[in-house]
Amino acid sequence: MEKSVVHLERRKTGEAIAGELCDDITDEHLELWRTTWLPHVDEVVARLKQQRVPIDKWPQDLHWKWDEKTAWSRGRLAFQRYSLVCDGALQGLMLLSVTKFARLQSQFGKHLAYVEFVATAPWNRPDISAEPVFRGVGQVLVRTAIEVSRSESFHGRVGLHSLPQACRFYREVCGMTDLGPDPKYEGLVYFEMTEAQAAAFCRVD
Amino acid sequence: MSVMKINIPKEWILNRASREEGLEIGAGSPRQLAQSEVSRPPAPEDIVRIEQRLSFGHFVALMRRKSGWTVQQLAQRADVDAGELLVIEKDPYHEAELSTVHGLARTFNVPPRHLMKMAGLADNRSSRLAEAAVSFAASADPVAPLSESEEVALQTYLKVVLEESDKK
Repeated sequence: MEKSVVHLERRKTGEAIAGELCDDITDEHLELWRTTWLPHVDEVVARLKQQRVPIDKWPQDLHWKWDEKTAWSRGRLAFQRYSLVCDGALQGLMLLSVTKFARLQSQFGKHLAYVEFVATAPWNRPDISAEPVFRGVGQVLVRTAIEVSRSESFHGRVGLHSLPQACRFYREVCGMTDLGPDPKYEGLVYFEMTEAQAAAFCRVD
Repeated sequence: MSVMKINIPKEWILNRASREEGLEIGAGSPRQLAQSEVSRPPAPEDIVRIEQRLSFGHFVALMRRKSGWTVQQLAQRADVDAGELLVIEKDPYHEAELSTVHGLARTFNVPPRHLMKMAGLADNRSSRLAEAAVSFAASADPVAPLSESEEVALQTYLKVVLEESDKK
Protein backbone atom coordinates (compact mmCIF):
# COMPACT_ATOMS: atom_id res chain seq x y z
CA MET A 1 0.00 0.00 0.00
CA GLU A 2 1.34 3.41 -0.97
CA LYS A 3 0.41 6.80 0.47
CA SER A 4 1.03 10.11 -1.27
CA VAL A 5 0.84 13.64 0.09
CA VAL A 6 -1.78 15.75 -1.72
CA HIS A 7 -3.37 19.07 -0.87
CA LEU A 8 -6.93 20.40 -0.72
CA GLU A 9 -8.06 23.97 -0.33
CA ARG A 10 -9.96 24.89 2.82
CA ARG A 11 -12.80 26.83 1.27
CA LYS A 12 -13.28 29.29 4.12
CA THR A 13 -9.68 30.50 4.32
CA GLY A 14 -8.20 29.52 0.96
CA GLU A 15 -5.28 27.80 2.66
CA ALA A 16 -3.77 24.55 1.38
CA ILE A 17 -4.17 21.64 3.77
CA ALA A 18 -1.96 18.60 3.34
CA GLY A 19 -3.77 15.30 3.11
CA GLU A 20 -3.03 11.68 2.38
CA LEU A 21 -4.02 9.85 -0.78
CA CYS A 22 -3.93 6.09 -0.23
CA ASP A 23 -4.00 3.55 -3.07
CA ASP A 24 -6.53 1.39 -1.25
CA ILE A 25 -9.73 1.66 0.74
CA THR A 26 -8.77 -0.01 4.00
CA ASP A 27 -10.97 -1.13 6.87
CA GLU A 28 -9.92 2.05 8.69
CA HIS A 29 -11.21 4.17 5.80
CA LEU A 30 -14.47 2.22 5.81
CA GLU A 31 -14.78 2.83 9.54
CA LEU A 32 -14.39 6.58 8.90
CA TRP A 33 -17.03 6.29 6.17
CA ARG A 34 -19.42 4.51 8.58
CA THR A 35 -18.86 6.85 11.51
CA THR A 36 -18.67 10.20 9.70
CA TRP A 37 -20.17 10.08 6.17
CA LEU A 38 -23.19 7.93 6.98
CA PRO A 39 -24.51 9.97 9.95
CA HIS A 40 -24.19 13.08 7.77
CA VAL A 41 -26.07 11.34 4.93
CA ASP A 42 -28.79 10.26 7.38
CA GLU A 43 -29.26 13.89 8.42
CA VAL A 44 -29.54 14.96 4.78
CA VAL A 45 -32.06 12.22 4.02
CA ALA A 46 -34.15 13.24 7.06
CA ARG A 47 -34.08 16.85 5.85
CA LEU A 48 -35.07 15.90 2.29
CA LYS A 49 -37.95 13.83 3.65
CA GLN A 50 -39.06 16.67 5.91
CA GLN A 51 -38.97 19.07 2.94
CA ARG A 52 -40.96 16.50 0.94
CA VAL A 53 -38.39 16.49 -1.86
CA PRO A 54 -39.34 13.70 -4.31
CA ILE A 55 -36.91 10.79 -4.08
CA ASP A 56 -35.95 11.11 -7.76
CA LYS A 57 -34.61 14.59 -6.96
CA TRP A 58 -32.28 13.35 -4.20
CA PRO A 59 -28.53 13.19 -4.94
CA GLN A 60 -28.21 9.82 -6.67
CA ASP A 61 -25.10 8.67 -4.88
CA LEU A 62 -26.34 9.27 -1.33
CA HIS A 63 -27.11 5.60 -0.81
CA TRP A 64 -23.83 4.22 -2.18
CA LYS A 65 -22.47 1.54 0.09
CA TRP A 66 -18.72 1.86 -0.10
CA ASP A 67 -18.19 -1.16 2.14
CA GLU A 68 -19.95 -3.38 -0.44
CA LYS A 69 -18.17 -1.77 -3.38
CA THR A 70 -14.82 -2.25 -1.65
CA ALA A 71 -15.50 -5.87 -0.69
CA TRP A 72 -16.66 -6.63 -4.22
CA SER A 73 -13.61 -5.09 -5.85
CA ARG A 74 -11.03 -6.63 -3.50
CA GLY A 75 -11.16 -9.99 -5.26
CA ARG A 76 -10.63 -8.44 -8.68
CA LEU A 77 -7.22 -7.51 -9.98
CA ALA A 78 -8.70 -5.16 -12.59
CA PHE A 79 -9.83 -2.71 -9.92
CA GLN A 80 -7.95 -0.09 -7.97
CA ARG A 81 -9.27 1.78 -4.95
CA TYR A 82 -8.26 5.21 -3.68
CA SER A 83 -9.12 7.09 -0.52
CA LEU A 84 -8.34 10.68 0.37
CA VAL A 85 -7.96 11.73 4.01
CA CYS A 86 -7.40 15.35 4.99
CA ASP A 87 -7.69 17.13 8.32
CA GLY A 88 -8.23 13.72 9.95
CA ALA A 89 -11.41 13.08 7.97
CA LEU A 90 -12.22 10.98 4.93
CA GLN A 91 -12.76 13.45 2.07
CA GLY A 92 -13.09 11.29 -1.02
CA LEU A 93 -13.28 7.74 -2.36
CA MET A 94 -12.74 6.34 -5.84
CA LEU A 95 -12.93 2.95 -7.52
CA LEU A 96 -11.12 2.58 -10.87
CA SER A 97 -10.86 -0.19 -13.42
CA VAL A 98 -8.19 -0.60 -16.07
CA THR A 99 -9.74 -3.08 -18.49
CA LYS A 100 -12.15 -0.83 -20.38
CA PHE A 101 -11.78 0.77 -23.78
CA ALA A 102 -12.12 4.25 -25.24
CA ARG A 103 -15.18 5.17 -27.31
CA LEU A 104 -14.12 8.54 -28.67
CA GLN A 105 -13.33 8.21 -32.37
CA SER A 106 -9.80 9.64 -32.06
CA GLN A 107 -8.84 6.97 -29.52
CA PHE A 108 -11.46 4.30 -30.17
CA GLY A 109 -10.61 0.85 -28.83
CA LYS A 110 -7.59 1.97 -26.82
CA HIS A 111 -7.38 1.20 -23.13
CA LEU A 112 -8.27 3.79 -20.55
CA ALA A 113 -8.63 4.16 -16.81
CA TYR A 114 -12.36 4.01 -16.13
CA VAL A 115 -13.76 5.67 -13.02
CA GLU A 116 -16.33 3.16 -11.77
CA PHE A 117 -17.31 5.28 -8.79
CA VAL A 118 -16.12 8.53 -7.28
CA ALA A 119 -17.59 10.60 -4.47
CA THR A 120 -16.64 13.39 -2.13
CA ALA A 121 -17.62 13.59 1.55
CA PRO A 122 -21.13 14.99 2.16
CA TRP A 123 -19.72 18.07 3.97
CA ASN A 124 -17.84 19.06 0.77
CA ARG A 125 -20.94 18.89 -1.40
CA PRO A 126 -22.55 22.15 -2.41
CA ASP A 127 -25.93 20.53 -3.07
CA ILE A 128 -26.39 19.26 0.49
CA SER A 129 -24.04 21.38 2.57
CA ALA A 130 -24.58 25.12 3.12
CA GLU A 131 -20.86 25.72 3.58
CA PRO A 132 -18.71 23.06 1.92
CA VAL A 133 -15.45 22.52 3.82
CA PHE A 134 -12.87 21.59 1.16
CA ARG A 135 -12.48 22.32 -2.53
CA GLY A 136 -10.40 20.25 -4.92
CA VAL A 137 -11.38 16.67 -4.02
CA GLY A 138 -12.82 16.07 -7.49
CA GLN A 139 -9.78 17.42 -9.30
CA VAL A 140 -7.32 15.52 -7.11
CA LEU A 141 -9.16 12.27 -7.79
CA VAL A 142 -9.46 12.92 -11.54
CA ARG A 143 -5.74 13.73 -11.56
CA THR A 144 -5.16 10.44 -9.75
CA ALA A 145 -7.10 8.58 -12.45
CA ILE A 146 -4.91 10.29 -15.07
CA GLU A 147 -1.72 9.27 -13.24
CA VAL A 148 -2.97 5.66 -13.01
CA SER A 149 -3.77 5.77 -16.73
CA ARG A 150 -0.25 7.02 -17.47
CA SER A 151 1.32 4.35 -15.29
CA GLU A 152 -0.59 1.68 -17.23
CA SER A 153 0.72 3.21 -20.50
CA PHE A 154 -2.77 4.50 -21.36
CA HIS A 155 -1.33 8.02 -21.80
CA GLY A 156 -3.78 9.73 -19.46
CA ARG A 157 -6.94 8.45 -21.16
CA VAL A 158 -9.83 8.39 -18.68
CA GLY A 159 -13.53 7.55 -19.04
CA LEU A 160 -16.53 7.80 -16.72
CA HIS A 161 -20.29 8.05 -16.50
CA SER A 162 -21.19 11.27 -14.73
CA LEU A 163 -24.13 11.62 -12.41
CA PRO A 164 -26.50 14.26 -13.86
CA GLN A 165 -25.59 16.92 -11.30
CA ALA A 166 -21.83 16.54 -11.98
CA CYS A 167 -21.74 16.91 -15.80
CA ARG A 168 -20.66 20.55 -15.61
CA PHE A 169 -17.63 19.59 -13.53
CA TYR A 170 -16.38 17.04 -16.04
CA ARG A 171 -17.16 19.19 -19.07
CA GLU A 172 -15.98 22.60 -17.87
CA VAL A 173 -13.42 21.98 -15.12
CA CYS A 174 -11.84 18.75 -16.37
CA GLY A 175 -12.22 19.56 -20.07
CA MET A 176 -13.45 16.06 -20.92
CA THR A 177 -15.39 15.29 -24.09
CA ASP A 178 -19.14 14.81 -23.62
CA LEU A 179 -20.26 11.75 -25.61
CA GLY A 180 -23.89 12.15 -24.57
CA PRO A 181 -26.28 9.94 -22.60
CA ASP A 182 -25.44 6.25 -22.64
CA PRO A 183 -28.64 4.20 -23.03
CA LYS A 184 -26.80 1.12 -21.76
CA TYR A 185 -25.86 2.92 -18.56
CA GLU A 186 -29.17 4.25 -17.33
CA GLY A 187 -28.88 7.28 -19.57
CA LEU A 188 -25.89 8.71 -17.66
CA VAL A 189 -23.70 11.01 -19.73
CA TYR A 190 -20.43 9.38 -20.74
CA PHE A 191 -17.29 11.53 -20.65
CA GLU A 192 -13.86 10.76 -21.97
CA MET A 193 -10.47 12.40 -21.63
CA THR A 194 -7.83 12.21 -24.34
CA GLU A 195 -4.06 12.36 -23.88
CA ALA A 196 -4.08 16.03 -24.90
CA GLN A 197 -6.96 16.87 -22.57
CA ALA A 198 -5.16 15.10 -19.72
CA ALA A 199 -2.01 17.12 -20.42
CA ALA A 200 -4.03 20.36 -20.45
CA PHE A 201 -5.76 19.42 -17.19
CA CYS A 202 -2.46 18.65 -15.45
CA ARG A 203 -0.70 21.80 -16.65
CA VAL A 204 0.20 24.36 -13.98
CA ASP A 205 -1.07 27.65 -15.44
CA MET B 1 -3.47 -3.61 -6.26
CA SER B 2 -1.23 -0.89 -7.62
CA VAL B 3 1.69 0.39 -5.59
CA MET B 4 2.48 3.81 -6.93
CA LYS B 5 3.23 7.26 -5.57
CA ILE B 6 0.87 9.85 -6.99
CA ASN B 7 2.63 13.16 -7.43
CA ILE B 8 0.19 16.07 -7.49
CA PRO B 9 1.93 19.45 -7.02
CA LYS B 10 0.52 21.70 -4.31
CA GLU B 11 0.56 24.76 -6.61
CA TRP B 12 -1.45 22.85 -9.21
CA ILE B 13 -4.42 22.21 -6.92
CA LEU B 14 -4.20 25.63 -5.26
CA ASN B 15 -4.39 27.21 -8.67
CA ARG B 16 -7.38 25.11 -9.72
CA ALA B 17 -9.38 24.39 -6.55
CA SER B 18 -11.69 27.39 -6.88
CA ARG B 19 -12.90 26.12 -10.28
CA GLU B 20 -14.70 23.37 -8.36
CA GLU B 21 -16.76 25.90 -6.39
CA GLY B 22 -20.44 24.97 -6.35
CA LEU B 23 -19.99 21.86 -8.48
CA GLU B 24 -20.82 18.25 -7.77
CA ILE B 25 -18.30 15.55 -8.78
CA GLY B 26 -20.14 12.21 -8.43
CA ALA B 27 -19.68 9.59 -11.14
CA GLY B 28 -20.80 5.97 -11.42
CA SER B 29 -23.95 3.95 -11.59
CA PRO B 30 -26.76 5.11 -9.28
CA ARG B 31 -27.23 1.43 -8.59
CA GLN B 32 -24.80 -0.18 -6.19
CA LEU B 33 -23.01 -2.10 -8.89
CA ALA B 34 -23.68 -2.46 -12.58
CA GLN B 35 -26.09 -5.34 -13.20
CA SER B 36 -23.52 -7.44 -14.98
CA GLU B 37 -21.13 -6.89 -12.10
CA VAL B 38 -23.31 -7.98 -9.20
CA SER B 39 -21.37 -10.66 -7.41
CA ARG B 40 -22.80 -13.94 -6.20
CA PRO B 41 -21.22 -16.11 -3.55
CA PRO B 42 -18.94 -18.48 -5.47
CA ALA B 43 -19.52 -22.23 -5.32
CA PRO B 44 -16.50 -24.32 -4.17
CA GLU B 45 -15.82 -25.50 -7.74
CA ASP B 46 -15.88 -21.85 -8.86
CA ILE B 47 -13.24 -20.98 -6.26
CA VAL B 48 -10.93 -23.62 -7.74
CA ARG B 49 -11.57 -22.20 -11.23
CA ILE B 50 -10.88 -18.66 -10.00
CA GLU B 51 -7.58 -19.78 -8.46
CA GLN B 52 -6.67 -21.52 -11.70
CA ARG B 53 -7.53 -18.45 -13.75
CA LEU B 54 -5.55 -16.25 -11.40
CA SER B 55 -2.51 -18.39 -12.05
CA PHE B 56 -3.36 -18.51 -15.78
CA GLY B 57 -3.36 -14.69 -15.89
CA HIS B 58 0.00 -14.53 -14.09
CA PHE B 59 1.35 -17.24 -16.38
CA VAL B 60 0.39 -15.28 -19.50
CA ALA B 61 1.84 -12.06 -18.04
CA LEU B 62 5.12 -13.73 -17.10
CA MET B 63 5.52 -15.55 -20.42
CA ARG B 64 4.83 -12.25 -22.21
CA ARG B 65 7.32 -10.31 -20.12
CA LYS B 66 9.91 -13.11 -20.41
CA SER B 67 9.77 -12.57 -24.17
CA GLY B 68 9.88 -8.79 -23.75
CA TRP B 69 6.54 -8.25 -25.52
CA THR B 70 3.87 -5.68 -24.83
CA VAL B 71 0.24 -6.83 -24.64
CA GLN B 72 -0.24 -5.51 -28.18
CA GLN B 73 2.78 -7.44 -29.49
CA LEU B 74 1.65 -10.69 -27.89
CA ALA B 75 -1.85 -10.12 -29.27
CA GLN B 76 -0.45 -9.76 -32.77
CA ARG B 77 1.77 -12.82 -32.50
CA ALA B 78 -1.00 -15.01 -31.06
CA ASP B 79 -3.63 -13.44 -33.33
CA VAL B 80 -5.90 -12.69 -30.38
CA ASP B 81 -7.70 -9.64 -29.08
CA ALA B 82 -5.40 -7.35 -27.05
CA GLY B 83 -8.30 -6.32 -24.84
CA GLU B 84 -9.02 -9.88 -23.85
CA LEU B 85 -5.34 -10.45 -23.08
CA LEU B 86 -5.36 -7.51 -20.70
CA VAL B 87 -8.48 -8.84 -18.97
CA ILE B 88 -6.97 -12.35 -18.75
CA GLU B 89 -3.90 -10.92 -17.02
CA LYS B 90 -5.93 -8.88 -14.52
CA ASP B 91 -9.32 -10.48 -13.93
CA PRO B 92 -9.50 -14.04 -12.55
CA TYR B 93 -13.28 -14.04 -13.06
CA HIS B 94 -12.90 -13.74 -16.80
CA GLU B 95 -13.40 -16.91 -18.81
CA ALA B 96 -10.99 -16.83 -21.72
CA GLU B 97 -12.18 -17.56 -25.25
CA LEU B 98 -11.16 -20.99 -26.51
CA SER B 99 -9.60 -19.45 -29.63
CA THR B 100 -7.53 -17.12 -27.42
CA VAL B 101 -6.19 -20.02 -25.35
CA HIS B 102 -5.27 -21.89 -28.55
CA GLY B 103 -3.52 -18.80 -29.93
CA LEU B 104 -1.54 -18.38 -26.72
CA ALA B 105 -0.65 -22.07 -26.56
CA ARG B 106 0.73 -21.88 -30.10
CA THR B 107 2.74 -18.76 -29.30
CA PHE B 108 4.11 -20.04 -25.99
CA ASN B 109 4.75 -23.48 -27.50
CA VAL B 110 2.64 -25.22 -24.85
CA PRO B 111 0.13 -27.99 -25.71
CA PRO B 112 -3.36 -26.37 -25.86
CA ARG B 113 -4.92 -28.90 -23.48
CA HIS B 114 -2.44 -27.90 -20.76
CA LEU B 115 -3.27 -24.25 -21.15
CA MET B 116 -7.00 -25.00 -21.20
CA LYS B 117 -6.67 -26.66 -17.82
CA MET B 118 -4.76 -23.68 -16.51
CA ALA B 119 -7.50 -21.39 -17.79
CA GLY B 120 -10.16 -23.49 -16.06
CA LEU B 121 -11.73 -24.39 -19.40
CA ALA B 122 -11.11 -28.09 -18.96
CA ASP B 123 -11.90 -30.19 -15.95
CA ASN B 124 -8.99 -30.70 -13.63
CA ARG B 125 -9.45 -32.15 -10.18
CA SER B 126 -5.78 -32.52 -9.35
CA SER B 127 -5.17 -31.07 -5.89
CA ARG B 128 -1.45 -30.94 -6.65
CA LEU B 129 -2.16 -28.68 -9.63
CA ALA B 130 -4.55 -26.51 -7.61
CA GLU B 131 -1.92 -26.07 -4.89
CA ALA B 132 0.74 -25.28 -7.47
CA ALA B 133 -1.61 -22.74 -9.09
CA VAL B 134 -2.23 -20.87 -5.83
CA SER B 135 1.44 -20.92 -4.91
CA PHE B 136 2.43 -19.71 -8.37
CA ALA B 137 -0.18 -16.92 -8.43
CA ALA B 138 1.04 -15.67 -5.07
CA SER B 139 4.63 -15.56 -6.28
CA ALA B 140 4.17 -13.40 -9.35
CA ASP B 141 3.97 -9.63 -9.64
CA PRO B 142 2.33 -8.74 -12.97
CA VAL B 143 3.90 -5.27 -13.19
CA ALA B 144 7.54 -5.46 -12.12
CA PRO B 145 10.29 -6.80 -14.41
CA LEU B 146 10.68 -10.57 -14.38
CA SER B 147 12.87 -11.45 -11.41
CA GLU B 148 14.96 -14.56 -10.92
CA SER B 149 12.46 -15.94 -8.38
CA GLU B 150 9.58 -15.37 -10.82
CA GLU B 151 11.52 -17.18 -13.50
CA VAL B 152 11.94 -20.14 -11.11
CA ALA B 153 8.25 -20.00 -10.13
CA LEU B 154 7.24 -19.98 -13.80
CA GLN B 155 9.39 -23.00 -14.66
CA THR B 156 8.25 -24.92 -11.55
CA TYR B 157 4.59 -24.28 -12.27
CA LEU B 158 4.94 -25.20 -15.93
CA LYS B 159 6.63 -28.45 -14.88
CA VAL B 160 3.75 -29.37 -12.54
CA VAL B 161 1.15 -28.52 -15.20
CA LEU B 162 2.88 -30.64 -17.83
CA GLU B 163 3.39 -33.58 -15.46
CA GLU B 164 -0.21 -33.53 -14.21
CA SER B 165 -1.63 -33.19 -17.69
CA ASP B 166 0.49 -36.05 -19.01
CA LYS B 167 -1.01 -38.39 -16.38
CA LYS B 168 -4.48 -38.07 -17.97
